[in-house]
Amino acid sequence: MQNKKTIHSTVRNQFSQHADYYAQSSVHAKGDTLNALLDFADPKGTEQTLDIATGTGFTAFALAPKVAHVVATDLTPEMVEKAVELAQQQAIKNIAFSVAAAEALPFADASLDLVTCRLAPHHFQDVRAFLSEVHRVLRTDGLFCMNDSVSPESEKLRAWQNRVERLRDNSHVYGYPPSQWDAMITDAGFSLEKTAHTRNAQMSFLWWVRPEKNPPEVVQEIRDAFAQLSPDEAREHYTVQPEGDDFYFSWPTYTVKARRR
Amino acid sequence: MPRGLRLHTKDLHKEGGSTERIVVHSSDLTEPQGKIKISKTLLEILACPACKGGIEYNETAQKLVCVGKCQRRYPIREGIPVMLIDEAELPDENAANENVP
Repeated sequence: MQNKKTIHSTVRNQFSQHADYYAQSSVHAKGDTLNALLDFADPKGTEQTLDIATGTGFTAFALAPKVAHVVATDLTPEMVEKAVELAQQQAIKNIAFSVAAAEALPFADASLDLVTCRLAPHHFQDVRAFLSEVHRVLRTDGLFCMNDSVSPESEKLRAWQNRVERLRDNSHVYGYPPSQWDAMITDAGFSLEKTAHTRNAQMSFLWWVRPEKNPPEVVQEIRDAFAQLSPDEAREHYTVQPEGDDFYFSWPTYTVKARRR
Repeated sequence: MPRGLRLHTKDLHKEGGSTERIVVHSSDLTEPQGKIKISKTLLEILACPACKGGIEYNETAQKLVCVGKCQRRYPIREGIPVMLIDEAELPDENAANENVP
């Protein structure tokens, strides 16, 4: 198990080199996950909002016109700098940025009405510490809306998916199954109001596997791992669709609306 | 007044040559390295990520300073607060470590 400092440094190394990639990524810009999160958040326009692990800011930018103010944080300075640049280009005024770790948030107790986090907790070194911090910074009855890629409930597929994700990107820490998210969020002092099984956008394997970064033997190992899935597993859990030398697939994601008790 | 904000006066030169003295927040005066301002709304809610104490903006040093137990000093880079415990300066290493879990 990597220690806290190693995980943070791995995540920062990974994302500092890829701010432009994420800024242009249709997976992060679109897909069900953003709409599901916005639908669950259903802002009234008065919310002091925090978007954790904002990356290059997609979720924060989508929330900005719907809330009073958004603070967008990320662990990686290069991602925040890119987000600042994009916010300036889009002339978004009610937004501020800070570099921050999800497990040690730099905000006062009960200072926020809405906290969001999208497609990121699988990179966090300590999800329980993250949830405890979200609980601390939210006012009573404040709303926490999150979405993350999750693994299936089956132990076999949970191990398979986390191995494949880590092979491709060593900043991947762990994708929990929905039942574990429900338990951890409830334990952290929230009431679950809504949950939804969602998916990120269908991705080309040859794009996703990042052949420009991962050596051919790693790409092959990941391809072999997909080949080991049964046809039912590939279709039901990962929507695998062969296409020539490539195939398209998606990860299951889970969207949660939780109220701070 | 929100914690960490200091008020200053500034001469506002109006059309026709008259001058009006106005009060402004320190955050509105500063554009570190010409990039972005430190948002007033952000300063109002910032807290130390280590001891959760209040944060004051030291404009001269361009640091965000914990006024709670640990007194860590957080850098501002490219106009962006870097609120990471590992990147903060300690005023007195022994004293600060005693107060952080």
